[in-house]
Amino acid sequence: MVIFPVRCFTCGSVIGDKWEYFVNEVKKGRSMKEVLDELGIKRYCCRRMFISHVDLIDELVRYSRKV
Amino acid sequence: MGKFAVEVIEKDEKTVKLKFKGVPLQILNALRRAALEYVPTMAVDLVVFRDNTSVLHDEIIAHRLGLIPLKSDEALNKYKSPEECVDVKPEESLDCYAHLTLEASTGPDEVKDIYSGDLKPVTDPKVRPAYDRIPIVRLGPRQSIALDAYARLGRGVEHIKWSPATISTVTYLAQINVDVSKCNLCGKCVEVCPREALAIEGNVLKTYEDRCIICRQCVRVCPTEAIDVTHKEDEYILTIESSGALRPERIVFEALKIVASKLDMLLSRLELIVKAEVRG
Repeated sequence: MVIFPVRCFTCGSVIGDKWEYFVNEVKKGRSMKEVLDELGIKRYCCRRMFISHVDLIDELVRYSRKV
Repeated sequence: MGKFAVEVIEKDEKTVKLKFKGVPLQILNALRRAALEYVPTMAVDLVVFRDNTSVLHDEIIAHRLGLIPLKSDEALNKYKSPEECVDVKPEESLDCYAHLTLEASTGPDEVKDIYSGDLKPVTDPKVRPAYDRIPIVRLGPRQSIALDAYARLGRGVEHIKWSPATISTVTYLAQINVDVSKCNLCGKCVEVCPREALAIEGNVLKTYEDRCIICRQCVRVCPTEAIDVTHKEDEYILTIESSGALRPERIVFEALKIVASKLDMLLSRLELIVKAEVRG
């Protein structure tokens, strides 16, 4: 997806605010499981949102639309 | 209805877990559904774009804004109900709509994230995003965004963005019956239990019913048919997880009020019909 969703597709729990922390911690070398547990993401519907997301907005962000 | 009891099992900022004894399942289910569908909250419903040169389309940004939970604890008493606001123009009414605004732009070499915290209240400082760090859009160099968002009260039946609860469940409580005369302490049930609800301690099979999820694996595996798992007849657990718009206990109170008022409405309608029949 282009940008991380605000809410979990399945249960509607708010997850958008936790994405940045998740990415930064995983980049530091921590395991995804550990970070998700720390963030209190319990259900596997929400956990797959984090694990499977590919942030594509950086590929697009330097191209402005003509208005 | 006879005696009933409520016990708070768990409560924090986001969730509340209540154990009910003596309350019929049907009433708890009505409560559960009211929490999801009928308790009103504030959410952005109309977005007017003045400028948007970001890579995300207006519609996507408007959708993301709608999904951001707004603090609604005070707003519930202040704003008119969704039914009263049907024909009201968002720019004109302070009783129906709260106005929020978002303005941001970037310099020649700048890439910047715009967060829900940048969405600023204009008319009502109490209606503001419940979370400040939800990314809305990432702006590239020389891009800008400017918009006016109008939030109103709404209900989960209309769109899920207004639902104050993300999780609302009623579950059974397990009852594990062990026939001590048949049990030979083989330990097969302990091995197969996914939730460690069973344990052999000393010379008895000990049960932890609050951990049990009633999967009945132990019943299937027991060679002497000594164990049986059912649920308690009269006890249920109601779990509500808040989206952040309302405090979880507030959701329960509001849901209860709504169920009660619906029942009152039903009663008064029925009385009208009965009276009409008597007269006719």
